Amino acid sequence: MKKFFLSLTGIALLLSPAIILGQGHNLSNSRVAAVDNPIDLITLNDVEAQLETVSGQVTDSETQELLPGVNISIQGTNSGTVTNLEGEYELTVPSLQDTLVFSYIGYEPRLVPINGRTTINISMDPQTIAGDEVVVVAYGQQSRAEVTGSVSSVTAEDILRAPTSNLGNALVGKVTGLSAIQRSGQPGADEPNIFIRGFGSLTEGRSSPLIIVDGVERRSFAQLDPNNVESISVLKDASATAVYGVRGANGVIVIQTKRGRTGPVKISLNLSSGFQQPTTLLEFADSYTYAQRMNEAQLNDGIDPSLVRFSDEALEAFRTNSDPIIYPNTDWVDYIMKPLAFQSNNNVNISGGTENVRFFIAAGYLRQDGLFRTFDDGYNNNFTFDRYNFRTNLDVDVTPSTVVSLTSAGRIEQRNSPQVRNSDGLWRQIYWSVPFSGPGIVDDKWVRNGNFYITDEKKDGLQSFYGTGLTNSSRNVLNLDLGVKQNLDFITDGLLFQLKGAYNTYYTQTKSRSTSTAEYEPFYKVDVDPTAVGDSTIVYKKSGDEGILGYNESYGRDRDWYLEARVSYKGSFGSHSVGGLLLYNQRKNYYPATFVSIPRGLVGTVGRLNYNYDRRYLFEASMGYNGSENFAEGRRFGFFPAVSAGWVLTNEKFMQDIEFLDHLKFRASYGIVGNDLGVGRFLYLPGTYFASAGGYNFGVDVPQNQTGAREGQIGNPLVTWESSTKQNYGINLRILDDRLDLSADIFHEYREDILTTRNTVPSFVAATLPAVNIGEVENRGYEIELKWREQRGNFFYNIDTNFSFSRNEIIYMDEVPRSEDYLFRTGNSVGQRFGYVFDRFWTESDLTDESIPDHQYQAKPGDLMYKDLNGDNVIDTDDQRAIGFPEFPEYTFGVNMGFRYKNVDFAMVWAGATNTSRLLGGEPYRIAFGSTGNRSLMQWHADERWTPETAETATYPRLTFAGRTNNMKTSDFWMRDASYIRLKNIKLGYNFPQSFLQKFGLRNLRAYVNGYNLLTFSKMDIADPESRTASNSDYPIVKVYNLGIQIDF
Amino acid sequence: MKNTIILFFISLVGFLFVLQGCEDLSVGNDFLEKPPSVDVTQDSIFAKAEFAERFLWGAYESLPYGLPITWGDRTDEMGMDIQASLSDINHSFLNWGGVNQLYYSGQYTSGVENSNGKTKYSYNNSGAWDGIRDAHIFIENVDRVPDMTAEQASELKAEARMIKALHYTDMFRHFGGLPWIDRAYTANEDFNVPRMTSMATMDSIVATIDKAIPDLPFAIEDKLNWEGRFTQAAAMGLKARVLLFGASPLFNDNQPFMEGEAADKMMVWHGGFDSNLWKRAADAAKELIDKVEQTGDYSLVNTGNPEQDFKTAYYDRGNSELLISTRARYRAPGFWSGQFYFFQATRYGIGATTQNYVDMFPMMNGLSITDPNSGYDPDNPYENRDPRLYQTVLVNGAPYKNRQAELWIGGRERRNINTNSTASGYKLRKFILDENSATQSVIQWPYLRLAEIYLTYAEALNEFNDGPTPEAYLYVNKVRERAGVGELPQGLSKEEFRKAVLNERAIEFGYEKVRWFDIVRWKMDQNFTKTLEGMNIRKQGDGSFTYERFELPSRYWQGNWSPKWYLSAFPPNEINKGYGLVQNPGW
Repeated sequence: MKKFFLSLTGIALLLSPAIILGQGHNLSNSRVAAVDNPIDLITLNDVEAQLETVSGQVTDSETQELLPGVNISIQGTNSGTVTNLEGEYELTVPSLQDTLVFSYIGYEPRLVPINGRTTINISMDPQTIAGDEVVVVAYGQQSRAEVTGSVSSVTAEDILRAPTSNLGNALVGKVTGLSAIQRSGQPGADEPNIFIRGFGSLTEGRSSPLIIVDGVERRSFAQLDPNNVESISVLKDASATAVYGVRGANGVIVIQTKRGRTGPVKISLNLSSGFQQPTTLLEFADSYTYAQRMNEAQLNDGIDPSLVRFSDEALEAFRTNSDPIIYPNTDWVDYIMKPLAFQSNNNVNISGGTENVRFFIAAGYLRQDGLFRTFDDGYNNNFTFDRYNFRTNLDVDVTPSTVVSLTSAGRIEQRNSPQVRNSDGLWRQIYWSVPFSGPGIVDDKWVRNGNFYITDEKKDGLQSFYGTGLTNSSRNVLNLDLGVKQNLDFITDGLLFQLKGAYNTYYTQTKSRSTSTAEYEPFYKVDVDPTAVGDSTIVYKKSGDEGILGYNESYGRDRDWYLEARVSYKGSFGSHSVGGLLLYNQRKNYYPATFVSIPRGLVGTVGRLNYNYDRRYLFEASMGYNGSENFAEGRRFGFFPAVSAGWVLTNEKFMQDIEFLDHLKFRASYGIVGNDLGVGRFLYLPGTYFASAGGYNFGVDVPQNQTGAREGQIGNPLVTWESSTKQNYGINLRILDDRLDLSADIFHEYREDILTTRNTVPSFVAATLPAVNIGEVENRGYEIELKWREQRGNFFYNIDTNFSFSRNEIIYMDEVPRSEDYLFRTGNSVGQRFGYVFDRFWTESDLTDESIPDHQYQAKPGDLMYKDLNGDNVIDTDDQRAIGFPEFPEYTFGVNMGFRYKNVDFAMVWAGATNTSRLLGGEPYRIAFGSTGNRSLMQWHADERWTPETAETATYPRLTFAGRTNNMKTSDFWMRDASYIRLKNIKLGYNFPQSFLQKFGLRNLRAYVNGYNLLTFSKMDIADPESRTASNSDYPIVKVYNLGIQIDF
Repeated sequence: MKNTIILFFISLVGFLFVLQGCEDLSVGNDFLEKPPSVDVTQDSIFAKAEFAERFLWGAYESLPYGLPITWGDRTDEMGMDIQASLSDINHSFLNWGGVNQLYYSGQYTSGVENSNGKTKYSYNNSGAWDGIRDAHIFIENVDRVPDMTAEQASELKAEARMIKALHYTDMFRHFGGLPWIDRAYTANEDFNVPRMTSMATMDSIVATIDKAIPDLPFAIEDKLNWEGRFTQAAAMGLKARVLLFGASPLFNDNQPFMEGEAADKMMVWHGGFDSNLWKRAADAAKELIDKVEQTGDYSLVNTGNPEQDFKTAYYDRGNSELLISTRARYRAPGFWSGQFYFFQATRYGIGATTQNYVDMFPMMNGLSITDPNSGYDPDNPYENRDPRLYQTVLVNGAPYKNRQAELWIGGRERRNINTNSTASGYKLRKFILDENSATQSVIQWPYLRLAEIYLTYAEALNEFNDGPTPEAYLYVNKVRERAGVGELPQGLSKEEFRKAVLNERAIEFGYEKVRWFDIVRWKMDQNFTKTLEGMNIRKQGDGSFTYERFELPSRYWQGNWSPKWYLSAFPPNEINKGYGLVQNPGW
């Protein structure tokens, strides 16, 4: 029955345009004529009247700037004009007793009675945030005063403060409830991981928010040109996201791009260039230090002094740097990376419109260079990123009641990167390298030492990428949207019909250009040619060959389309305001990762009702009804309802007398939202088998294996989506003439039916178990946003602060019972780490102390001693408890402040996070000399290691190989507080005075300097607090210094 | 005007249809995709003999291989190390392998078994349970395959039973008593499958083998194409191996090797000594030996060239003494290939043979080097030794890569005193050969060889009869004769004979996963606590060599011995699942 209803709604909504359109045009015929020939109309009606002319100038009340493009109309008629570049207008009016309506986007509209005047100069007030500005919500817009859910938004101006190429990074610190970690600064791959209100599910991957760009779900918003973005809204609670149904539980980020406005053509040119620089680079010990410490470690392990790895001769050579070829000392990080890398971002946009056609056209080009030094090997294998964006947003009033909107946007992303020599990963290998492996490139030769003079394998800094060629990938993204908005005023005022189609394609071509290069191993001549006695000139033994740059290409493709039809209504009757929305949509995505040949389909119906009484009592009910083929027939459709209410106290009569209180609203919402992210496809099918999988080599000399068959995953016919019950309670308060604006929310989320595998099934079952909907996670937190803004004469300033907290708790995950209560993951946060608890370093006297728990290892002074948590006098895996905080911060905060004084403006954003930890993992961070004992040594290991002399101050255990298993255990010793405060953006701008501009016919000219990530305060000193501190290291995070100019014509 | 607008909308609607390409414009439930219809299910596998057989071949893939191959649960032996490094015959210098990290350092605890894949046998990840599940699925379903005769089906079923029996045998030797799985479980059953006693476990394995024996051919007829499948001889041999282990003092004694709940419940010993268990082992071996002699299908490789024959016996596929040979690859790839990590691992130091092991090899004349008449020359220690030494261990001066191996400090094999691969002064040669292309020939793992059955028979006879019988001598000598070292001296006492057999097993099956179990089943704790040595060989100016024994790095258990090391720990998580697993003593 439900299905039938859904189909019916869909058909009706899809077919309705034809019916409606025909009628619509008949009915609006006369108006069409009127607009087409406004002159005729006026002539006809006013042939007898005496026409008067009113003229004047419009200025901004704060900056006194002239405002071009302001709409001026005569109240009650269709005639009007707009101001020219000088902000001047001239308008013929039927009577000097009429009233003029001045309207301009971003400013408070003004009604000015002419009162017989012929010159009217007015100034317009910019809309303050305190006013009734409009926020973008799911499938529409809403006046902020009437919002009952939890929605944060960011404007274009905020976004453009940061010189970051990546829109994701521009959001940090600006809104509440959003946490992000940027793990890499690699050009074109510096997108942060963003979560809304932390994690609601059992894994990070299942907790990613939904991204909506211009009303359509898109893969990512990170590579949109920030210059083209009008606003970003973050939808957090159930009432804001229930309409997205099975996609809404992780929160939604809604991006709206800029569109044209009626007015003169504006051309805006924004050119900027700057430099990137790593925030923190890892420091490694030099050759001399390395050799000393290696020998120290070996002696600590009781190796005979004659057997240590570095001879006195080698040590002396390192100390004096007497032989930079055979005994080199190369700081690889410094050798490979340049101190600065260039970046440039340029954008031009043209916007404007007549009464009937409005357009916004933009093109942008971004270039980011990588930090790698390029060696002269005939090709560029540095990291680079080039991005070409274009966008045409077109709105055409085909009839006075019909708007057709065309959005055509696309981009080409070109990424260049070196080929990586083997599967160990680029950064990992660079960080493995030792300073004495070779001197790098000498006379165009890659010189790499063998094992002859210094034993053992040596990782070379160039090894992972030098001479390997490059990978160049080009990704084309095309988004095409077509929408029709039909005003159904002829049925009833406020009724609107909209139809929208969107088509997105993604196409990637990856060119892989591999080559090879020769290595040269240096020898003293005497060691190669025994007859050359005493000849220590250096000769090279070549191995490998210079290759030719090969060519290989591969392709990736992806496309999807989306179709939506909706009817909405907005009307008021006396004090009652009513709004409604009914929407049907469907989406198809091609070439999914599994079952490539079967596209993914999703259908949905959305309903929403708003009601408010006198803007005092606000109610909203919404629902999403979604179907997904991921679930079995009969279990495919889910219903996700939400209700919310608001009470605006300040609109109550009894509150009118309280002078200082401008606005006070209480909000509450409750609802259920779903999440099908990360649900494998067709999990409900019966258990699968693979008819050809693997094989076994029978016989004596038979090259061909006998093909095998095996059992796949067991099916789960009951699989369904995660469902999340969310509550949100909020307050909005504005006092002191709207100067102080407070908004606070507290939320609670209970997510159940989280898809996970059962853990308590014995391993003898040995089947690939199905994912079952059994996980439960509770998530709670609060958000506070406090804004202050004030205008004092020419001086305007603002301080906005925001503070967010979220913490989740695993309620159920089918955990195997543990031996001790503190070992349970259940009850802790998702991603909570467990480890031993460091007590202190072993001392000499501890060795004979019987009261110290048995470490099942013969400790020596300087080893790590752990606490015996369960008191059984043995240190074993039962002595691990929750240590540190999860990687994603529980608290995030931001301070945005700025001022505008005459022609100067300044803004900065500080962002911070706390209750976040990094666990130093593996190489190079935790293990001195790496896991194989011949890799790199970090400077702090060398400096901070325990020795009998430094026992009091050491922060690293004694150097040892034998004691590694004990010392390198995951423990809170390796946990670092990754809290940080960062100067995320800073911007200083100067607007050239009007008098200057007029000489060049410019509307506006502005020069600015800005920066990104310029200052960081953190307790973590060995690496950037946001970076990965495990073996799989990434490109360093960068700061950016930038200079720009903006010219508006 | 009006017409233009209508036209526009018609084209708009048209555009929306075009957007969908050739897809039908459907809405609601019809819009959602149909699931794939061509899925392979259990029914489709067991609808055709070809696919059913494939399923069994898939189960064969679970069989263990004795060398580290590649990263992954089953094929990643001890974190890229070898079991021999736990025994007295070899020392590992791979400091990141499981042997050094967990065993030499003493950091192995039961908790490690929860997740760490570097232990000597992983209850969760060894692949045993997967193989056993596959065997059960096969046994439960193969009878419904329409195009397969009942005879074919029972032969294949018998092979499936052998896959199960082999995995249980290995688990039995690492853990003692086990939970016995008798079907393929689904995910939602009552999993109350308690751990059985060691005796019941052994009997269940033997019963499984006995059930398989009648349906298997004694030997593979088409050996060229099908060697590696289970045969009756393989089954009988495996039975002798299980029974010998179960008859040995670890389980078959008057007291448990260590007290604890598992000992109380007789999961790690049989509750008392029963000499009849030795008889069962001897009988099982004898049964196979008789049938071998009667059919002539199997024999020791013996062409009169001892060194070559010995290499053939453990290395070459299709040789006449392989009872069970398992496979992970067809050929070994190159040395640096990640697809056969064993080679790289040896270069990193997993195969440094101990001096103690080298000393176990007698002289060519069969006499132990400690025997004053042996002719052993400490200044020329590798001359005239048991030829098996040269095929097991790379010793200084041995032919290698068309030259002589240089194991002196500074020599090509041991560039520095701390060169990991030869840090003991020796290097494993078995399975590596000359490290040339010959090493990359067709390979297999000699899981069970006929020679072992001979020695098993001799050992069991000696124990049951309280001393060596002529038959016991006969079969030890068969193995020694093939090696060219002559017969054992007559008149050995029970203890002397036992020692001789165990020594014989050590040198015949070095690096073949035999020594560890011998030490364990005989509770030879002195082999854990004794000092292990290496050899520093120095070349003198005149070209002669000096030999200096040195102590190898010590192992945790040398100074902290506990009998708990005899058996592995169960993962505590598995015990906590509450289906009846009991932890082994000491863990």
